[in-house]
Amino acid sequence: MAIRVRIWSTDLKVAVTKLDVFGKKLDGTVSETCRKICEQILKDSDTIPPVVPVDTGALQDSGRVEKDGRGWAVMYGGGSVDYALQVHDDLRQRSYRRPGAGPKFVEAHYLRRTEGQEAYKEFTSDIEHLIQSTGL
Amino acid sequence: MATPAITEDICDYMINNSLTPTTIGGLVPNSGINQYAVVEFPGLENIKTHGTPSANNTYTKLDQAMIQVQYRHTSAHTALTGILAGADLLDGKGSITINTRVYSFISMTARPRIIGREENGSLVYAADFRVSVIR
Repeated sequence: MAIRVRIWSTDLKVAVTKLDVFGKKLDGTVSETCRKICEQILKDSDTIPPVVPVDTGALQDSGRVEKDGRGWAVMYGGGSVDYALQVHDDLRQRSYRRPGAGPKFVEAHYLRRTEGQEAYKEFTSDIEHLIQSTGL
Repeated sequence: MATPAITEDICDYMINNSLTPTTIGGLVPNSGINQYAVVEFPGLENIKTHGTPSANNTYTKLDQAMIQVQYRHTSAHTALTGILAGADLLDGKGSITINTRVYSFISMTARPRIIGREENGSLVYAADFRVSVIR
């Protein structure tokens, strides 16, 4: 003797439509979350030690968040500021004029924000909001 | 077990594998000595727990750190060869014991590159690594 169980949604067409909307919006939502995290890392790099060293101020002024392929990137340097990599990566001893300044002023904050629960919570929160806003 | 001194362990490991002279915390300034240095930098949360509890309900604890290995030499070619030797020694290592502690993995996060030139003309190369050690 066989038993057949059928399961269906009374609003299957609606559910499929909502899933389609969710799928189309997901890429943009994730991209926006990445941009927000990059903006926070950029802010950290100028407010929480190690902060970006300041001599002429050109390096500090060059800090920005840029679109990078499908994602976003925290950027320093470019143009006449051709020493950003050396200032960021050089761990040799040196005295900085700005209190709290030091090397790895982007990487340290990137690691802190992305290795713990903070970035995970940001993504989860934004995706949950998208699910609710599409009515799923 | 107490907090491991990761930079000291990596320094010892390099010395034991003939990458010398090696110092902790930075190159000796104005010494003119061609040498390696192991420097730790911040970022990672220190202790992570992984795996299932053992019989006495304890987890395996991992200390993690970011380190930079520097190499200085008056010859650019020798400086590059030196930092590549450091990268070859450390990158991809897993389950090695240094000073009684088990290092579960070491992986390179930034490839060897020039970070500066000193007043005597020596070039300094650096490579960054992520290190994980079982406490």
